Amino acid sequence: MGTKFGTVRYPTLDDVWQHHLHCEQAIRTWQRAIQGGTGSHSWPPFLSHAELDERIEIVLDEVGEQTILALMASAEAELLTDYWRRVAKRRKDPLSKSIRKSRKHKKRSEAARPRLKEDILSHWERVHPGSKKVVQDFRSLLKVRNWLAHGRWWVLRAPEPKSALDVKFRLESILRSLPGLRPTATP
Amino acid sequence: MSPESLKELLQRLAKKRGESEPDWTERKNAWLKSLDELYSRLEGWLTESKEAGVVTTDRDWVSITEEYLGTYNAPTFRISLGARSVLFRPVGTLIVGAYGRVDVSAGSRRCLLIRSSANSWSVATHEKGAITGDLSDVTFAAILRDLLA
Repeated sequence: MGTKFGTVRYPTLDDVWQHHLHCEQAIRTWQRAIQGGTGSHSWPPFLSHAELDERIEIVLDEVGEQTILALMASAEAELLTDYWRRVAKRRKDPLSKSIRKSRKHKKRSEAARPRLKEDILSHWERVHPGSKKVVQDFRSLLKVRNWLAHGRWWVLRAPEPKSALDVKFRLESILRSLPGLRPTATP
Repeated sequence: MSPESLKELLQRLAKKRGESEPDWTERKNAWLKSLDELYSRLEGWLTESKEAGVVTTDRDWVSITEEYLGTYNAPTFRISLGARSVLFRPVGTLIVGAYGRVDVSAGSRRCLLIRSSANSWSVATHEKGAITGDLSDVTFAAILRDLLA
């Protein structure tokens, strides 16, 4: 389970997805238990199966939203750990050099907390112009991530992903497409 | 022993399914029969009022779709008191914790009739589904009072 950065283990996209599948499976089992009269729930009694299905779909949608947030967090971890490897291992590739050079002008506190958009994604776009489209897709997903993480109280301008699985596929594709990024997210 | 062919496998699964599953057609027919009996009971309690010209009743049909049962028509029952009316609308027989449910409404006011066994109906609140009693001429009068008052 998970991948390591130093001594810390953090969940990969696949780990998050496995957890999502477990949740879905548990909810479907719960749904069958309710239908069979053995599962407890907080909804009014005597729901028709169709009414129960509607409520279960809402629960599953909510789990999907939580999974999207966790998938995004996992992808962010991949990009940040990649950033720190480039800093620590003093690689000679243009991206690593560009990142290290940019850190020289930063205050210590700023250098200790790199920002995803300004310190990581911008470098990717500048040094690897071919990655621009992929980075743009990630930026679009970041809007969804921020919308979810900050309470969904505003109208989301970015197109909402079709599903958590859609986000997983997009993130896998993004991480695979960034040149030189260690593909730790997939086994 | 030769391996089971796809055709044999599907035949075996269909047979097994048939043995373990309820008879859904029978379930649907029993449900429709219980609705007919329910409405007859209600009409019975209303006989004098109907003869006095105080209320009228009529039946109609509603299309219901349920898993395993498909789409079918079930009877509705309406009691009219001048311009006001109370509608008994069946929801289905596949109900969590019961054998059927009929939603009773007059405008925005609602309550539920719960088929708690083959021939037994209970009255429940719409909001919380709390059972308030078995259906009888007394509780039926209470329903009409609550919905039409």
